[in-house]
Amino acid sequence: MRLQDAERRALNVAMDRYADGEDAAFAEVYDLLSPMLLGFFARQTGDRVCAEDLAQQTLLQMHAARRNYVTGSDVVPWAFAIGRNVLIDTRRRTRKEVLFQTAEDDAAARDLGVDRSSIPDDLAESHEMAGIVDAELGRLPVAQRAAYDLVRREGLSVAETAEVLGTTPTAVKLRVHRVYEALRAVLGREEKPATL
Amino acid sequence: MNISVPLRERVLSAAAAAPSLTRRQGRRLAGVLVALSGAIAFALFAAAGGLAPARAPALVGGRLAEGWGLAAAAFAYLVLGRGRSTVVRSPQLLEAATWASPVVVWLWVVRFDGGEASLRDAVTTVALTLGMAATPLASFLVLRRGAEPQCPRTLGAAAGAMCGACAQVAVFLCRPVTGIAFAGVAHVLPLVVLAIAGGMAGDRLLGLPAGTQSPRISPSRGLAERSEDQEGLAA
Repeated sequence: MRLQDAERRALNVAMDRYADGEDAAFAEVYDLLSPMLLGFFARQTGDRVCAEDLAQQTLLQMHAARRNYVTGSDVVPWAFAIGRNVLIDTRRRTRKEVLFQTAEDDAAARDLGVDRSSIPDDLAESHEMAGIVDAELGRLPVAQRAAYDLVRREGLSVAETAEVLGTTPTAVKLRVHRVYEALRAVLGREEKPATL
Repeated sequence: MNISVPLRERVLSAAAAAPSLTRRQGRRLAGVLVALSGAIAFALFAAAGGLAPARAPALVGGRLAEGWGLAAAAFAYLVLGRGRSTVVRSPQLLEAATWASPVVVWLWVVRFDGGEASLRDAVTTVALTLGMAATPLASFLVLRRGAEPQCPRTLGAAAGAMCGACAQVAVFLCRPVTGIAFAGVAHVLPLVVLAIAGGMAGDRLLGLPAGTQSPRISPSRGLAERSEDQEGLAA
């Protein structure tokens, strides 16, 4: 979910008021920012519960650091910088944890297989394409993937993405361009047999 | 974590239960810490003999402090100023400034002829620089504690070197001693030490605090949701 300009301005004003001690403004910050954060985390983790936990942690980190919010600055890059940090930290801590806690959960996961014939062709094809894109993205370096995700999927500008990733706008453009090139190459390879 | 309570309610009640410093309170705390740092630096400056230069002409001290004062001010602007962004300046720029500062101070000091220096002078100068820089560095770490999402170590190192550079302005005024070897020991060494110490402290203190518990993929709920998604897809 992307914020419109008016919503962004409202978010910045609300955060400004909250940083100055108006506690009620945090609800406004939450209402404007949480859909964006939840979408980001849901895409990154593929799990709504996990996304909610990460969004909660991000918002509480913002609450704890509100004294450092610079008047008139954009909240979104700051929130994403914190959110990305929370995500990396969580991934690092949960890397060795098992996904499914019990044998029943494991079995239930296998039982969830959907019959391919029940899915319409065009939908199956677009899902297949999305799968190819995701697989290729998974192979790319983390820095390139992060830049692509923030620009293409979260709708941040190149300058904002550079702020979030702590790099220059030129580096972000280069990383996104490399992802495009990689995706173009892999999708071109996939299309060729079909045209023959 | 209780997942049955809606997220909005959870976040707002958690924020209300753990009040954080507001910007106004932060500014007040900063004022107190800056005044304390200034008082300690002034006390050390006075204890070291104040403006009276030990051996070199007073003019050398003034010129050393003048030029390095400009460099230190630019460095402080780079570390403390964030423009119109809450996120810290480019980490690469901070890192470059941090590790360039010892080289620049050495190049600056060796340009002047400040008379002969003994090992005792060098040790006193190092101690003075470290003493004057310690409180401002600690204040910076307190004020920005748990608020740097991107590069706490880089920011801590830059803050350490910046505090050292500012302290050296006063050190030049009370001990305007130069010389190639002296500059290396008395001026380069404390900046390197402060940058390393700042980086280590920054890594521990400036970064965001780790979450209270790691969010886990909840098997039952996650599977139920995925099942709903699959059903929707099939339909």
